[in-house]
Amino acid sequence: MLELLVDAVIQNLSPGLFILIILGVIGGMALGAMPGLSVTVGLALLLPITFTMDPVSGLVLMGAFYMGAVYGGAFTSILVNAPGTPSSIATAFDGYPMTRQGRSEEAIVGVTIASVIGGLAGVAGLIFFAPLLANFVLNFGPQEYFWIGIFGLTMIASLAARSLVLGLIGGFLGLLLSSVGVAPVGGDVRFTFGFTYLQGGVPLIVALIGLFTVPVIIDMIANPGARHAEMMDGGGRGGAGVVWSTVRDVLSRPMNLIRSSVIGTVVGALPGAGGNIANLIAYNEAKRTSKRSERFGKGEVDGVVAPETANNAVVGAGLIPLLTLGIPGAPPDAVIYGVLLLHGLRPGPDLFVAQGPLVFTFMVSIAIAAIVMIPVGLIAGRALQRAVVSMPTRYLAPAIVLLTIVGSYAVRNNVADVGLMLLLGIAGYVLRELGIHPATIVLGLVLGPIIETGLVQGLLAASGLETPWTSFFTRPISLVIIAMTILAALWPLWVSRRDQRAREMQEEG
Amino acid sequence: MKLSLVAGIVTLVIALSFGLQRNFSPLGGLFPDAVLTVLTLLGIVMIIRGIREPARERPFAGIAASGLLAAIAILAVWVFSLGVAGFVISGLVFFLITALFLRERPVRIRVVLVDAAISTLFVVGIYLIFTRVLLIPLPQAPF
Repeated sequence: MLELLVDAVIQNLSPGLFILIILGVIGGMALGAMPGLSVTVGLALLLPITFTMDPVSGLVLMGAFYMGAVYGGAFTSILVNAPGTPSSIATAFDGYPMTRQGRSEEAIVGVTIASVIGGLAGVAGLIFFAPLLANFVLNFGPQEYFWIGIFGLTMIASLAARSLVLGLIGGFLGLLLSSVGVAPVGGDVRFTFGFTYLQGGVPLIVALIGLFTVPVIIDMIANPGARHAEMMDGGGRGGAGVVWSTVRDVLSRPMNLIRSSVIGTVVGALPGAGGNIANLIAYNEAKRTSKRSERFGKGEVDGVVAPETANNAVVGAGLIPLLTLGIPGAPPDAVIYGVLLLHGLRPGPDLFVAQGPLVFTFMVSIAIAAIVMIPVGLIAGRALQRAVVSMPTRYLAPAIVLLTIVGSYAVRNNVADVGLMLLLGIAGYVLRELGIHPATIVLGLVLGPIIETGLVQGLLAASGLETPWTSFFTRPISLVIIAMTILAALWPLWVSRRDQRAREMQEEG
Repeated sequence: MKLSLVAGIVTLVIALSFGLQRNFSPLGGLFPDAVLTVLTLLGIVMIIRGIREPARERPFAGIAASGLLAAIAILAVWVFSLGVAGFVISGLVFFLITALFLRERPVRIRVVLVDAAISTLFVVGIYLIFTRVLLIPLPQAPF
């Protein structure tokens, strides 16, 4: 294996492939930074270009583009509160507050380090633990996916700063929105209010843009002076010093990077989960275990580092089920699956034996793409950050509107999606004023299909039992996830009691 | 009106409007029914809280209604005009209107020309990138 790895590194550093990696990362970054254009759309757009390439070049370009796109999604999350891809939802929670405080450069540098480390961790998982992780994820049935979804819901406790009940309302509104359209199992048409258009459900991208970005646009137009004043209040430290101080700061808490990398690698290896889930879980765990948890949601750099580490780890780890089992775990992996088939390569255990050099070159190219993100991100990313920060609100607000229109329209080439985006945005604004964080709604929307599919499929799979629902409580992995869920749900209560006790002791002292 | 009370009422109205739509098979209704039940209970909790607790926060406090309504109106008419005038024409018109609306100084002819030029740069630039480079179609004017 070592020989294959060395050969793969040498091949990737040849001028032709290295230039492809750089171009792939830049192209992916640019596309990922556009709200609404998902990684899958970008890879699909790239697909025809790979037709004329040899298999190695095609796969290397795809891998670099994938890595760059996941990274690029963080920029708009941070700069205008518009997650470029669903993998960067949690990045907006602290990224945008950092921008409002004039600390967007710090956030960009933070996500660059995080993305590089996460990307490398995912590839390490792919190279060294692929067979082990593949066997582990094969034990996941519908019951386990159901409990993973429920575990994800415990994040509401972290997001609901004002009131847990309001957070739960947001989460359940998201779950309700996720059930609009044709049911994932059974085919019932639900909650369409007489509009056949709604049979396709509420697209996640449309909801993301509406709930996160439209309230920001409304704020900008309704109160144009506020953005500038907030950024000035923040001080806006900048320059070369920011890079090194942020690098030192982020690396001084390695556990956040390690934990988020492991979460991204394990979740990425689960077919059907992917970056959408990994970034949320990583954020939640970072907040739950941080000594600075009270700063999360208000502009904490660890709050952008955790989700970006995890979602870039997903890139490499997501290839584990694809390359070892022939199962594309997420939509972008399905496009890569297409490239492999196009060149007559059939994913599965035999691929590593029959096409070892090609597979290793592909895997190593993703790691090199992660490293290339350092110069590309620090140059192009900071240039974009400076352009957005210095742009007057009178141009920035309509420019964001244009991008939100493009992003929501591009999902299904339907103007009605743009209308739905605006409707959800206005609803999101009203709910935000009522104390319901839009992120809780998005969380429900992301987790809804996983929970429902797991629940219904689990009950159907156990229909031979006298009481099918007991199957959710008897499987070993389910029990572990249930224990984690209970711990995650009780943790905020324990922290709150601990803090209260500490305050009481201080007062007594 | 108190924030908790408004939040509770809004939750119940949403739950009711979705609940009136339900007509599913037992399997298809399993998940949405559970969600609607919990949502209704949460709405009731918020209403009780709103009645019992003293008013500490009120929704939309400190927000200028005129600015808010103008923002929503601009966005709504912009989105509506997409189907009528297409991406480019609606974009040019509403980008310019928004830019001029957000100007703090008095609007003069020179300012209008500058903003019109910047609007054209943004709208046509984005249109060309998406339709010509990325080959992603954008709304076209029907005429």
